[in-house]
Amino acid sequence: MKGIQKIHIENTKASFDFELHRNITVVRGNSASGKSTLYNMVDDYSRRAEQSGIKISSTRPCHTILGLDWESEIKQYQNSIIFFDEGAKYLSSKAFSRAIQQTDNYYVLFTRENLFELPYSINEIYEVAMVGRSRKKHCLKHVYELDQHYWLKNRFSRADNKTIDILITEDSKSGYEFFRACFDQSKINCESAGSKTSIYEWLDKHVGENIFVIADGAAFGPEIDGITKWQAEHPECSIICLSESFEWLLLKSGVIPNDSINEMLQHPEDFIESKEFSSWERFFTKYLEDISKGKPYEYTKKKINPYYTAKANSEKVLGLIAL
Amino acid sequence: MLSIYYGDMPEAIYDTATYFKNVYKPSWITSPLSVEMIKDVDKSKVLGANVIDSPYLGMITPLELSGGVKTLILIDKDRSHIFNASTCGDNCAKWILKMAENRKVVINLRHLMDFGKGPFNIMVLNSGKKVHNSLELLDEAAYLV
Repeated sequence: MKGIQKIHIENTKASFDFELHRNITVVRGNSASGKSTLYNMVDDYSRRAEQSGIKISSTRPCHTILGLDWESEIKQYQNSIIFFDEGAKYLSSKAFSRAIQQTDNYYVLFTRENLFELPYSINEIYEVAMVGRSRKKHCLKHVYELDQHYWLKNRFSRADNKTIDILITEDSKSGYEFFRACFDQSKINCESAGSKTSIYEWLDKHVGENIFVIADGAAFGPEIDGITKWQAEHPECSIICLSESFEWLLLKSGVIPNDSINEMLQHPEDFIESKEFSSWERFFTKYLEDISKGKPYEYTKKKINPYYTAKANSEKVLGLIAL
Repeated sequence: MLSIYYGDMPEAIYDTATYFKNVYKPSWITSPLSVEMIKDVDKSKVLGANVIDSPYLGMITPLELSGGVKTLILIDKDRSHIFNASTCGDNCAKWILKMAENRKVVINLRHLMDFGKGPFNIMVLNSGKKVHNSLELLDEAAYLV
């Protein structure tokens, strides 16, 4: 399934308006914010359609799954939006991850757990919020926000302190090689965490140092809660930069002469088939590899092409993240 | 003292809303602590054992209380089980600490609940360590969930 899915659902007591942009959306937040109300309304409609009394307007059919036979139930649905309540213990399992990847549905997961088996974006973690002073109207609001340079915005961000001692990348190959080449002659020490799951441990071992973290926001959802809680305990230590991915930065920077890139970047939802790409950063990698193949700016994940580290090009890329 | 086991705990009741639906007693709802918790978390007023006035949903039964309040009431009233408190938002944390002021409370968490800066007394059962503030708690829990 591709594209933005718009949903409006209401009964006499509550209404919800929201959009889904990717295959996996996570909803969490305080108790009594309306999560259960939303889930139960979808569940009522899913079982009894119009006779439930629920009015729903959705670009795709909406369903709920909670039972023990969830694997079979998932297989029944195509091109649908499937909601899972927090009572579904299997959401954090490898079996669930296997079951929903390479399917053409979108999934809405109500849970506060960090789902390490799933590659979900920090941009698709929401909480339910009321619209204005209305007690009836609700929407979904981002839990995490990025500034114009893709730096994580929170009350612990160090807007006034831009000193960097260490730049750490999630990537250990091209992305890491790019930043290492860019800062080779500087005082900034560039290191690779090796994986997104190692970033927390890496930060925890370097308390007190000025650290700039670059990771792929497109799949950083499971890590973000721990990282923001670490920032709360160690303010003034870190800047967390979470653009979609390193390949997305290269595409966005304008260093590749291809007119089709901008159109794709303006609405990637319409280009990314959920059945083929479980997360957006995999799409951006393939897209970049495909459009650069056989060209002077050919990109491979394994080793950075010197075209990108050339000063004029690297400055464009670094400018995007204010480095 | 509050004791927390982080991560998968097979003996803990995971789907607390379903469990609540099938075991709650009307008398649980009108106990002073339940009335206070429902007022604070759900912003709702208990009118009787089976009727609660919600500013958002109108007159509701206990089954329409939030998942967080249901879990809080279970922790208070059903002391023979351990419950998955990851069904509670951060706005429930102070009530878990309050219940643990005068008795031993054991919960299961699968996420990093925010208990505030502290001071508090929490035993992390995975390691057996006692922690007294948010930094000590994060150091113990961050690698477990």
